[in-house]
Amino acid sequence: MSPAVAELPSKPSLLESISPSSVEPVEDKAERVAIDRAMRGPVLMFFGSAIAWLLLGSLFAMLTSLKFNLPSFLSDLSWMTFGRLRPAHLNAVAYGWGAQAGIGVGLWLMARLCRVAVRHGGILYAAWAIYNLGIMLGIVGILSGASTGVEWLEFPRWASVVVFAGFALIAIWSIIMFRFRKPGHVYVSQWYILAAFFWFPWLYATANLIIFFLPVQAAVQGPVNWWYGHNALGLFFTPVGIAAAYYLIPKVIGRPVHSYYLSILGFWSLAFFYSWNGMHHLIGGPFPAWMISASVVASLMMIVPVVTTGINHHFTMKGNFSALRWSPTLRFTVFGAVCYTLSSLQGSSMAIRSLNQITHFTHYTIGHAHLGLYGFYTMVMFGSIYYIVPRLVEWEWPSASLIRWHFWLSAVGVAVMFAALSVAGLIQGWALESPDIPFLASTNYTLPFLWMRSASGMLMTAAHVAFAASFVLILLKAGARHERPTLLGNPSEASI
Amino acid sequence: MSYTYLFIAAAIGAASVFAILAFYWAAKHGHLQNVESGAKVIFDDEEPIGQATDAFPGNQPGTLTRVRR
Repeated sequence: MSPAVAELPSKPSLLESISPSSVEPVEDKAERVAIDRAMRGPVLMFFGSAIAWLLLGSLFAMLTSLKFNLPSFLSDLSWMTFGRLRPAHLNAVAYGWGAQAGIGVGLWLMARLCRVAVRHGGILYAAWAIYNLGIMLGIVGILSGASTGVEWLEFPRWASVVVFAGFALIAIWSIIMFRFRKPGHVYVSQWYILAAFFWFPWLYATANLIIFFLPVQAAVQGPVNWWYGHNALGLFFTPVGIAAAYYLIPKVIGRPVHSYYLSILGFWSLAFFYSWNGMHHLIGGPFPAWMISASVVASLMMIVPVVTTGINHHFTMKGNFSALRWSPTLRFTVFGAVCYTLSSLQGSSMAIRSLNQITHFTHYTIGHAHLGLYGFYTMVMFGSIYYIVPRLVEWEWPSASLIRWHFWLSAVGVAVMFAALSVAGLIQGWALESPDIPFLASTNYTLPFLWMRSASGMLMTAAHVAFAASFVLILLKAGARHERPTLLGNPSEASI
Repeated sequence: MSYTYLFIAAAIGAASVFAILAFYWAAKHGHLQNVESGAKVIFDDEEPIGQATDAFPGNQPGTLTRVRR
């Protein structure tokens, strides 16, 4: 097959692809370059819009963070008040940046690992347009005061329907690709991606239905809210990040995963038990004790997939840590993998009632969230994009310095933010528990740490600007083209 | 009220049911057999085991000190 021929010899209709009677697998051995070229448009569009939302989300974050120390800053503008900016930040970085970066990485991995010609690429363009329309409507809705007020589900109902429709198309495309994949072993990353792309629309639809469209009693909405909030992290962002790490770490250093048994065990234990997490956010709340206890137990059981994944990544890297010096992809991905282990074990410990009593309702939880979603997930996404984009554009990144600045600003930024918020949260928690300390004092203790939070946020924002500049420059094919080492030879001659 | 809580538990438990069905499918189709060989499916003749595939632009990958085949 010529590399220029990316599509199937005779394109099947969508009906043929989803028909149960159509069971003939596509046996054509599609070439790696052909697959990359077929995925170039949709994946780059998801990456481009993800980076745009990352920049906007970073701006929202900076304004929000400054308001902790300067509460009157921009407070005359209703659109710029804390109650609107903070959810706008969360939704812009979670659904705008995080989810779209994950979609781009997941689509590319799925196409590469299915090793067949890409089917129905048009679905992906439609999904991109619909999904971004939903995000834009949602963010504008939040800023204009139409937020639902339910954390992680702040988008107005009319926007969440559009977001769901966009993501459902992604799930449909992934199922079609998986169904017609090249016969053979299903690599562990495929399991994670397929599951994540199924879990997210299911979670999102279930939570929206139960809370907004067919609302259950108010007291029950709390458990549903935190079941969704926690599962969106554990059943979408986490599997996408782990899938990327399980592909990239072995691929970059040319060494198979240390123990494939452990990787399989990690996936299935996550699949079986993670969905019981979430209600530990409501410890002390007016809910049945068994419900919260089930989530506490499930949180501690998450140690199994976390430890298996952590051991696997470490021993796969063992003996090759020097590669961190010369591989940007590995540098970001391994940093993210280490943060995955740390943030997950920290998360399990936070479900223990005695610790939860101190840390709940404090900045400690915010520090944990940033270690997970930024230190782990976002860093792995950065590493993935550094690996994927040159293969799609067939051009090398224009500047090693920009990549190094991006890494160090991000890494130092998230480390400082995590440390500052963790210390602030513990001080705040102990102060809140003490009957001798007035409530106002418990917040005043945290003020120096909140300045550190803003300063670390500035470092991360600068990192994002460097990243965005690299992305624009490579799209413009700026700088000299290097055929080695990233492209590893003439792409037109490469094959699977 | 108690029925509502059970409904929520059922909705949540559905994820585990899907996982069990997927596990059954995977076992039935041999995806849980000879799993160690599955670790090598991401390598091929063009990007074989032992070959690094990433480095900073303009630089060569360093030497891989430990390669398991």
